[in-house]
Amino acid sequence: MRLNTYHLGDGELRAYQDHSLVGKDLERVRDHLSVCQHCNTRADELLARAQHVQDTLSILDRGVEIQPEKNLPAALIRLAAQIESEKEKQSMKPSIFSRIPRFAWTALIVIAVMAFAFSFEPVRALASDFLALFRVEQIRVVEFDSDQVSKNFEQSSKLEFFLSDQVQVEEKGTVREVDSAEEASALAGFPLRQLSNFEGQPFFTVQPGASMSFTIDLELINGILRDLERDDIQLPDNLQGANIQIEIPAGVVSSYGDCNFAENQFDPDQPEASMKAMENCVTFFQSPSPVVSAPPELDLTQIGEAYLQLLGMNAQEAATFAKSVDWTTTFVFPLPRNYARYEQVFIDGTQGTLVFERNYQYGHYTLLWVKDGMIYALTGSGNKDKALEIAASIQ
Amino acid sequence: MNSAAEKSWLTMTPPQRSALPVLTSPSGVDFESFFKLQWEPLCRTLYRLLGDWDEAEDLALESFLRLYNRPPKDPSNLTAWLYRVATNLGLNALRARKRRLRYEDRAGKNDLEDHAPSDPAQDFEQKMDQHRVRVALQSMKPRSALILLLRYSGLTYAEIAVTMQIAPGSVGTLLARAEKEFEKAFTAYEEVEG
Repeated sequence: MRLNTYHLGDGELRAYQDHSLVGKDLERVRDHLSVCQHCNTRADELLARAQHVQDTLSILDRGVEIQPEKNLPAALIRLAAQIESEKEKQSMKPSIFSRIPRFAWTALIVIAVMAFAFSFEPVRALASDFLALFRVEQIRVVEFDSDQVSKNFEQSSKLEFFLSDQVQVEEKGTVREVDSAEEASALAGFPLRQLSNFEGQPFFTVQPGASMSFTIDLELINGILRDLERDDIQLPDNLQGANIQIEIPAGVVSSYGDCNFAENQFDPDQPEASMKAMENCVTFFQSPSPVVSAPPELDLTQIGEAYLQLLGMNAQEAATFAKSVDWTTTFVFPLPRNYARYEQVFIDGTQGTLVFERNYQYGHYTLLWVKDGMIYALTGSGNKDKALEIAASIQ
Repeated sequence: MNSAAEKSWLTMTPPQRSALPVLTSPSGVDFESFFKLQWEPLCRTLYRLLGDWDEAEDLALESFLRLYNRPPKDPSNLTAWLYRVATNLGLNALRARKRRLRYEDRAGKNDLEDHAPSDPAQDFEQKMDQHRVRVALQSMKPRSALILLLRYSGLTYAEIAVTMQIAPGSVGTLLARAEKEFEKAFTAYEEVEG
């Protein structure tokens, strides 16, 4: 143990004081405290502060006159009355996005935020001399076994909190539904492509863009890696404090066919029936590539390798994969193999990825591709031929 | 060398909640028992966050209603699920108060002016102290204030992690920072108020 340079973090000391460490972590901290005066002094300071905070917060409970336990019978009656009168809704919000597989949106939105943030090399420096930019030109799929990935990782719900506790998000407007492609195009700020072999009038949902920014918190990340028993994964020190900014442009979802979301609300307890009701609906999503900005001196490829290891690759596999990818232009898309299967197809003059969900008998697909800086996603029910036939009609 | 480190936060434990009994009824969640067990601590936690008892009870009720209508698939995390819903509602309520800091300040002072304390100086001083604590909490980042209140309400690190949707390994770090932030906010307020 390098006592002259290595010290425990405040988080580890607080967790130790609160008896929240177990196993190897507990042993490691205890062993370190047995020999490190610096950390013992720090532990004393943290303990004193925690005591002071607790004493101060206890002021809120003094002289409380209202006693909720006396209101308990009345509260029960109120609750029973509300349960009786309120109609139970077993549905998600009527939203076109319920038709798109959840993992795809996780990738498109969350991974578009995170994978980009750690999977690019500096392309050029702006006049402000501290930013590097990245845009998507192609998609590369990485399969992983979701049963093997730590439950903690899956339950660390918002992936952005893996890198930072303070993610600032600014949404630039509200979702709007319009009847004409011209209006959707004007709202989104780009020319709209459409499917040409559908009868009837499609409708268009314009999703507003968003700006995200966060500062990378290395202590937080290392805590999570210890949680996942992956403290073998090393991250560069200069990550600490790096500011990442992501601009997510507006997107448009065009709905064709029988897409009556208000009547055919998705029932998570009966997904097959829900999907059957929507088998004549096709949705077509399009949006310009997100733009990621970060300090150019960061070796973010190393972060990408760490992420791939978290998905189950060993260090060598992750390094090999990282070298095989043009990180300046590639959107790395994680696909849980026990949930879906995929194949590469040729579509719209370029290579695309066709994904089929394993659990639905109606052959629900998502076709993803990138062309001229635009990301496209086509979803519907049917087999590969049907998916490609529909995609071929795009104008 | 371990004497200081061996001191435990739990020796000066926040108000302890009763452990949630395992809900193994063949019919599913024993909702009424769970409600009776959690009603008071949940109301108190929301009251510490909001400073208003009526609002705390309303949001507590709304939280139980949501639990009843859409229970989580995993019943072992009911408490954390409930607190997650309740604290989200509480934070949303705080954001909805357009001028919340001024409201708290004004309400505290108006309350003191309009409701003369029945007791003498001690009662008055207590209300002022509570006002200072609440202003300090309101001036913090909401998630920082939240983690403090959840820990003070007796939630474990695992429950806090589920409630706040963070990794369990992050709780210690965020809690330490929140304690530092609160101390700074409270001290700053004391200095301003003299």
